[in-house]
Amino acid sequence: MTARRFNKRLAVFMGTALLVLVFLFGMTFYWQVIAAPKLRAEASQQSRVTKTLPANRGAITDRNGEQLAVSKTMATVTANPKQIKDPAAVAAQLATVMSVSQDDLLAKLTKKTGFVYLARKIDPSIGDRVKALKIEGIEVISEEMRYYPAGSLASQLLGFVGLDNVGLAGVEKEYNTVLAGTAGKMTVVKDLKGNRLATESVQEAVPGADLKLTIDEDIQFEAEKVINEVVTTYHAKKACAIVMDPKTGEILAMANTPGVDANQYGSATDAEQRNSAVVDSYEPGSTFKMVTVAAALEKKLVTPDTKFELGSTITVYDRVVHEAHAVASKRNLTVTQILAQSSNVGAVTIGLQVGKSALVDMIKRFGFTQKLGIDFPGETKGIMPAAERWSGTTIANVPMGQGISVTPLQLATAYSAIANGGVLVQPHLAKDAVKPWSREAVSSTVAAELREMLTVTVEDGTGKRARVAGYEVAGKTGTAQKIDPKTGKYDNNRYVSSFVGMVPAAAPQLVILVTVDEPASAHLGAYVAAPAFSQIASFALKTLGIPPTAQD
Amino acid sequence: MPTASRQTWMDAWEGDLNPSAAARRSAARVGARTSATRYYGREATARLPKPAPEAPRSQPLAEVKVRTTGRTRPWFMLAGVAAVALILLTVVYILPVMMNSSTTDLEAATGRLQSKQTELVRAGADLSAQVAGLSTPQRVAEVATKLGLQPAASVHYLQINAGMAVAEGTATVANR
Repeated sequence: MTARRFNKRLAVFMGTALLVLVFLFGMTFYWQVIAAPKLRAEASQQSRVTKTLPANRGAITDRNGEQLAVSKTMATVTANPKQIKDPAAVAAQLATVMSVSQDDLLAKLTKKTGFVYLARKIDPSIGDRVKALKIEGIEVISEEMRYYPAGSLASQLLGFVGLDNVGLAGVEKEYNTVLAGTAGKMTVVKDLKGNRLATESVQEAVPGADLKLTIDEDIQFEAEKVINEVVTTYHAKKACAIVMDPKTGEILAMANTPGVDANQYGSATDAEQRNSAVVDSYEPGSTFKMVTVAAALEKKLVTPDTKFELGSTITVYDRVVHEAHAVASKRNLTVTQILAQSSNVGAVTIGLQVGKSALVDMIKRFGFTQKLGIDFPGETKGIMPAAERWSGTTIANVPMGQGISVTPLQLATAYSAIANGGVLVQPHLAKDAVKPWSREAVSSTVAAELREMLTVTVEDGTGKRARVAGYEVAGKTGTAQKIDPKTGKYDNNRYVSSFVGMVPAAAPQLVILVTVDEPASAHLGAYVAAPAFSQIASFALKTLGIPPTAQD
Repeated sequence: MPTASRQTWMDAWEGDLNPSAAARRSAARVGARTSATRYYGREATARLPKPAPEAPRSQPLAEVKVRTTGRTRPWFMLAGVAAVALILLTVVYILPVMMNSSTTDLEAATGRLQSKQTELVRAGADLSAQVAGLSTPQRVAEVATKLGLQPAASVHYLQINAGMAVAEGTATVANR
C-alpha cells in the first residue's frame, strides 16, 4: 500500500483557486441577476431617445383662401452649460454671430443646469452660422413661428400665439384646438455616436387643420384704411368698422384702429390689442332709435306715416330731453321724419307710448344685452339696467340710445335683422365651422317698413353723406355723448359718432357699421362716420360685384 | 460411324437418361411427399438428417496483412468539422450581424429621408408664407400706386339682355 502524503502547497493553490472561482461566480451572479435590471434600464436610457414630433399649426385664410396667418420655420439655439468647457470663449463667439449681449450669454452659459435657451425663433441663417461653429454643448433646433404675412391686417381679429404656438388671443385662441393639431412621439435607438439604429415606436403627429374665415381680405384692408383716415382726419381716439352679410351672419370685415403689426403683437398695449367691435360696449345714441320705432311698429301703435306734434323739448320727471340741434318750438313730424331727422323728443315720445316692458322685450329680441355667441373670445353682452330697476327717467333715455350700452357687433347684427326681413342671424367669423342660429326679431312687414324709413334717412335726412352712387342706401346716424368718469355726467366734448346702414336698400346684401370714438374736430355721425360708410360700401359693392340698383 | 457395340452402349446410355416407368412412379411419390404440409412439419424436420460437423481445419489461415492509412482519416474529419463549424458560425453569428448592419443602414437612410421630408415641408411652408407676404392688399396697393394705378372712380355695369347671342368677329360686335 502506497502512503498518501499531504501536499500543503497544492492545498493552498486549490483553496485560492476555489476562492477565486467563488468570487467570480459571485460577481457574475451580482451583475447578471441582481444588478441586471438597473443596468438594462440605464443602457436603455442611454441608447433610446424619445423625440416629440411637433404638429404643424394650421393656416388661417380669408374667405378666398388668401393666407392671413401661416407658420414659418425658425432656429432656436440651446445650450447644455455642463458640457461647455470655456463659457467665456463660447459666449464671445456666439455674441458675434447672434448679435446679442456677451454678458447675457455668459450668464446663461454659467448656469448650473443641463439645458438653457440662448435664443428662440431667430432667423434660420443665424442658426446655420451657429451650427457651423460646431461648439460642443451648443445645439440648434428648428421651431415653428407664427407669421402674419399681411402685418397689421385684421390683427385684433386674428389675435396671436405664444412662444409655444398656443393661441392666446383672437381667432388663434378661439380655434386653438382646431389649428394646433396633435403632437406625435418617436422613440429611436441610437449608437454612441448618435446614429439612428432602429425605430422603436412612432406616433405620427397630426397637423392642425386650416381655418377659413368669412373675412374678405380686400374689404378688410379697405375698411381699415378708411377708418384710419377718419381717425387721422378727425383726430379721433379710435374707430371700428364692421361689414356683415345680413343673410348669413358672415362677417366680411371687422376693422379696428390703430393697426397693430401682428408679428410684433407683444409690443402693442392692451387697448391696442382689443377687438372693440366685440369686446367693448358704448352708448349707441341715435342709431338705437330704430329699436324704439320697431317696437312701436310691431305693437301697431304707429305706422311710418303717423304724425306727432312735438315741442323742442320733452320733460320726463326731472329729465328734460332736448334736440341735438335748434328746432321750432312746435313741429308735426311723422315717424319716418322722426327717424330721418333723428329727433330725440320724437324718439322719447314714441318710447313713452311703447312702454317699458315692450321696449325691453324688443331690445332683447334684437339681441342686445346678451352675448350673440360669435366665435371670438371675450365677447361682452353690453349693459342695460334690469327692467325692474329702471328709474322714472330711464324711459326718457333708452329710446334715444342713452342709458344702455351695446357692442358694435350687436348693433350691426340688429340692423342685419332689418336687412334680412326681420330675421336675426348669429354673426360668425369661421366660414364652415359654425352653424349659425337664427330667429325672428320683428315681422317681415315691420322690417320692410323700417328699411323704407331708413332709406329716407339717407336720402333726405341726416345720413345724406352715406349715399353711394348707383345704390340706394338705408341707414341711421348716431352721435352719442360719453359719460365723464369724473363727474358721472354726459360730457359735451366727448362723443361716439357712428353710422350703420345697409345696401342696396331694397334687398340688402351688406350691413356696414362705422363707429368713431371721440373725434375732436367734428363729432356728428353724419359728418364723421357716414362718409366712411359710403367709402367702405362703395368698395365692397364693387369687390363683390353687386350691380347698381338706383339710377343717378 | 460408330460401331455396333458402341451404338448399343449409346442406346443404353440414352435409355438410362429416359427414366423408366418405375423410376417415374418413384419420383412422383417423392414429389407428393415433399409437397405435403407434413413434410416440413416437426415430424418431417425431425426426420431430416443432421448435417455432419465440419471437420476442423488442419492448417491455420494465412495471416492477412492490412495496410492502414491512420494519418489520412483524422485530417478528413477535422476538415469536415471545421467546415460544419464555419457554416454554423456563419449562420449563427455573421448572418445576423450582416442583417443588423443592413437594417441599420436602412434605418439611417430612412432617418435621412424623413429629415429631408421635414426640411422640404418646411421650405414649402416658408415659400408659401413669402408668397402670402407678397400678395397682401397693402403691398399690391403700394406697387399699384408706384405704377401709377388708382382705384376706379366709378364702375359701369353692362346689362346684357337674355337671348342676344354675341360672337366674336360678327357684325354685332365689330359694328361693321
